[in-house]
Amino acid sequence: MGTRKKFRFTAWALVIPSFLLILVIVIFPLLYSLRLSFIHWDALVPGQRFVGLGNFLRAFQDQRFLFSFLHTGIFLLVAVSIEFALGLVIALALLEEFRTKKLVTALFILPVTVIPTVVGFMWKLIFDAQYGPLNHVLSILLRRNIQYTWLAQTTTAYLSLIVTDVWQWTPFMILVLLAGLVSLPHEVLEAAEIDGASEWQKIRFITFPMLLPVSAVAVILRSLEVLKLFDIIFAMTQGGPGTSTETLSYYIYRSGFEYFRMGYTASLSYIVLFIVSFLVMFLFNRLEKAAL
Amino acid sequence: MKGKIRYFIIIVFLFFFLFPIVWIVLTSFKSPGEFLSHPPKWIPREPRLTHYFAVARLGGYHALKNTLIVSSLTTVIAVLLGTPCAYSLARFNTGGRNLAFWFLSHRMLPPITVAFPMFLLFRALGWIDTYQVLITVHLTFTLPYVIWMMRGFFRDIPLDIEESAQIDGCTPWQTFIHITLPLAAPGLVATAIFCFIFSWCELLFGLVLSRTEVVPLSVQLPRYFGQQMTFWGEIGALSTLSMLPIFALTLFAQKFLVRGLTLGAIK
Repeated sequence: MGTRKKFRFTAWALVIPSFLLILVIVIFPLLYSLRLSFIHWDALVPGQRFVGLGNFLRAFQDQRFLFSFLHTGIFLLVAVSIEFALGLVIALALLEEFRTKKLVTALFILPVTVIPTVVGFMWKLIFDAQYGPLNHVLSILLRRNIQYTWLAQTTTAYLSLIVTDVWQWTPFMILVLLAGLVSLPHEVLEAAEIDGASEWQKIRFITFPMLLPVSAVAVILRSLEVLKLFDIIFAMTQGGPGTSTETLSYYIYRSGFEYFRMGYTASLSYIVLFIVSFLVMFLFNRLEKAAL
Repeated sequence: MKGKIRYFIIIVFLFFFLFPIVWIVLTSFKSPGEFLSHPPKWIPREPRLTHYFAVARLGGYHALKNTLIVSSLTTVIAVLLGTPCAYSLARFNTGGRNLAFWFLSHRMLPPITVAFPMFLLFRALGWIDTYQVLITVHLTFTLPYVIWMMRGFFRDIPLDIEESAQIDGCTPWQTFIHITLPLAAPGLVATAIFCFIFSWCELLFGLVLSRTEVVPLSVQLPRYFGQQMTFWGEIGALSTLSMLPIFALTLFAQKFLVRGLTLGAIK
């Protein structure tokens, strides 16, 4: 009994430092922010007052917030779908052995590890109207001088941001789906082949359904990241033209650090936190199944 | 997938994924006349290192040093605090499953939700623009990550091995140091590398909590982009320097890449 007690004590002693650290640096700011979210406090105007749920109600009438929500949602659907589709195609192409497979796979991974700000600038340079290689190549292909300002028009600014995100994160999908494909049981696919299933039928009815659990994890993780989307917006469009590419994170950043709306910013953060927690619950569900 | 289509897909996308990296690296060696020309020059005629020297005057190497210090110390602290915690969660099931998920949930927290209150609090403490503030804040996502990943790696080690060591007379502490830790070492190294990369890439906290002194790379770079003129050469040079160490580290962690990026959901 004595040693057991000692064990329990040691077990908790190992956990406590990390626990306290996170408590102080995350939970404390979150509580402070919760208090702020019920207060009307504009740093540019003196005075603060308690408004209850007023800030939250204001958020649902705030056009810019609703649009940033919409932008993030559309971005999530489009970018993550493309990433998944491309990831699956490339993973299937990489599945079977070939001579330089290891090297090629390693090269495919590179974009994931580049600083997102750097990624933003890489693509800003490529999309540059005057000096960018994209307009140059288009000029050659279309045989006329093209100086299109990709990042200055709403639609193409969006497209450019999506291309950038797809560039950085498709490799993540490739990697995860490839791992999923490798672990599929061979016998099932061979049996299907003997039964005369075509390549497409095998993918449609065997590979795809069996990949679902792996795909779910990959899609949830990507969705969580897109909800945080900030870095490439900051580097490439700064939410522009106008406010047409503002994402949730970017609008909240502006609300706090450009307009200094203390209370309102805190309540916007809580709305995002609420949305994210839903996705995180899904993720944890998956992780639990994977771990046990 | 078989045949020519397969190689076509691989080659086309390999080009797509490598081109931006190659382009920015080439830009860092071009003269302003070359990257500010229309149509653009693809290959620099005489590769030059001028931008790598120029970037020194513009605070580039200072930012590189800052990021190096912040990322290294964040990683070291996260590993030192997180590994024992993970061991306790894995072996003694301390706090049950809920505590483990509580730790992990902080890894998923969007930075923007805490950036603002953190800014107000750290400003009150007078910590803005210091190493300690960036390291502390980077721990909010690296420490939960280490705890969660290492818990998984420790759970992979069969209990029998530890038990037989204890029967042979090892104390729990000796067992941990001489048996468990070496077995978990590859996972530990990979986890540390991931922490380093996460910290290296972080933008938002750096943007909010730095001013002029302790400016990380990700925050320094956008400063070379101006309304009047853009220092593309310098951006290229600093970008290239920021990629090299990370590419090298990724090679070491390649075996654990999927596991590391999916929080252990896929091994």
